[in-house]
Amino acid sequence: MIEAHGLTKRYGPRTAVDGLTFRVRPGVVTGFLGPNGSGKSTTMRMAVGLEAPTSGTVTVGGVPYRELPNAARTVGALLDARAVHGGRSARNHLLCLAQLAGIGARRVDEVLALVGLSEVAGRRCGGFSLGMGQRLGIAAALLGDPEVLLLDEPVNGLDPEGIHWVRTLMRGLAAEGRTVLVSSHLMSEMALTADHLVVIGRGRLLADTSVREFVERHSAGFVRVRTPDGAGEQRARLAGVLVRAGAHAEPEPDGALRVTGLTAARISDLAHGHGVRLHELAPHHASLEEAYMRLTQGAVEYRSAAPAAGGPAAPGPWPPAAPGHAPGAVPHPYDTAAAAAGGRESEA
Amino acid sequence: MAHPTPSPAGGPRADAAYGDGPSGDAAHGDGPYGRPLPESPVQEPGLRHALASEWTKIRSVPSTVWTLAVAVGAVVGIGGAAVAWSRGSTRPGDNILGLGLGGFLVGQIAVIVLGVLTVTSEYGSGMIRTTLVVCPRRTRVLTAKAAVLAGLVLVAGTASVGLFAALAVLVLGPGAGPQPAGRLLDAVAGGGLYLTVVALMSLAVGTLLRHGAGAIAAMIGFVLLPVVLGLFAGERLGPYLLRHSAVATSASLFGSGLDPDTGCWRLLATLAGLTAVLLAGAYAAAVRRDV
Repeated sequence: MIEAHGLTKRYGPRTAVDGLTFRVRPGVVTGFLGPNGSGKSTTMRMAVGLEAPTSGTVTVGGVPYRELPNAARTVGALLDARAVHGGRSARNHLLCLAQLAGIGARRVDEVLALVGLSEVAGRRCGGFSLGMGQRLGIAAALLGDPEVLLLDEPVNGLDPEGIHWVRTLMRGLAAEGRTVLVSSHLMSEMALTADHLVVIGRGRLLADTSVREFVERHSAGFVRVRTPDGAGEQRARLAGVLVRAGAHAEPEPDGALRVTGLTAARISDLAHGHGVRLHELAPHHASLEEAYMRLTQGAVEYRSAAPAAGGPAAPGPWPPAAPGHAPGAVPHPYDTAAAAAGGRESEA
Repeated sequence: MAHPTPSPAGGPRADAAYGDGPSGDAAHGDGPYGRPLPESPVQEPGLRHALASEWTKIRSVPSTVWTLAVAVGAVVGIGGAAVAWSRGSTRPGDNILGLGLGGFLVGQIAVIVLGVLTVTSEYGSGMIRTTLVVCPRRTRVLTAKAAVLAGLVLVAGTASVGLFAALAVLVLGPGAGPQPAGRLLDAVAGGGLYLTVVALMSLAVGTLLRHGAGAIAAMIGFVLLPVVLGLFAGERLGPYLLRHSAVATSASLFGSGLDPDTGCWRLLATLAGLTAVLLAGAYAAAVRRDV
């Protein structure tokens, strides 16, 4: 069990982590999600005692990390796969860590076999690929057979087979009753691995929920409806009809309408009944990725407070241009402005 | 590369079922959490384990091994060469141990590099974070580093100065006559201790600066600059700097001191005192700082 309470970290004027309160429970994989620079790594570094919180606490099993009697037997962490001395062999790297934790050398060979590095155990780890480095980092985290695991972006640099391996490994570890916290900036990865999500943006907690709940709450489906181009009054008429029928219609920058609350069939019937021609009628189920982007985009907007961006409290009729960039976002089929507009809609 | 099936615990206990797996989020977390893994038979680690770990670290990296080899090679090699060239030109009563000073001064640069690298290689690579996650007791880690480094340099330093002294006595002894036992002790035991103190000071500076090149520059500056500054620092400060400089301290150990009134052991004690202050600062910084 990892518990953070009012966890805050400031570097000078910059607040990296801002009043985080959450619990990571045993028995499930908890995804720790947020765009790059959202404070995930800082939070993890505080959890393992590398950095001291400015205020608030974070404990492992109720105890601050630096007071754990035998830290390596309780917590295993992969924070940065490149945090090894490149001149040292993989076996010696693990051996010096095992010795430090009072763990026998036999365990070193066990974890090397477990991560599939036995054959290269004698090679300098400076020559390892990123994927091999990740495996070495995971081996180090597993050395003490710990009940709590913190893995910061463990699938970075792994090939698909390696990603599948890590995923299976983490689920297996959680199934044994361990606490597994794994950070990522990829929602798609977390959807496949995690049972529970802690989502942060700009150092603040955005969601602490199960994956299923997250999907249900944040990814309502919608229908894209397009009236003939250049026929603005048709679109306005249709929007009025749909809203009266109980739908929510939001214009998109390309002239289409984003309609929630009605099925495509009902929209088609209503349009036909009111003599509006449709050039596009496309039901769309928002992906988890979009739901996540909407959530974190909100955090970005909340922070920037640029007048042009409107702000979440007062959405304009037309979505503003996509705010700068979406850190850590992966490409998705709809433009970010649409996603941002959807985010405001769900918050309203 | 092989992709073994995940069985994280590795041992037979991995087969035991510790829970019924993830079966929905609400089912977990609220119930009582029995520690799923058997209590480990492993004893709580202490300084002994940290010492073993640091010994593995220092011997398993080429850079530290080579640096130590250079230090030994400089003391024995350069000193030995000076001895070889002096064959036949010594007169009775000559201080033949003074021939080792050149190699000793070069060797201590390598010792500085070794002492700094012992700690900054961890900061530079980020390995320090891996280390401190495994062992959050930072004083223990630093103590182990200091102890392993000090032990290694004391043994290697004393042995290499001893080897040089044996060479000098063996080759030049017949010409120069017997050397006073006190002078041999100063050079061999004092030389070994001096290198140990310099190594520890380098470790402290490396811990404080956390940057290899910066710490090495600072330490070499500490050794060399007082000699340069001392020449231009006026009548009161100048001689003090010259007399207490690391170079002068080294020279006094080999019987070539600038000031015969200030014994080599007093100079060595001054250096050790300064090192103790720096080490105390290093401990305070290591415990307090974010890494």
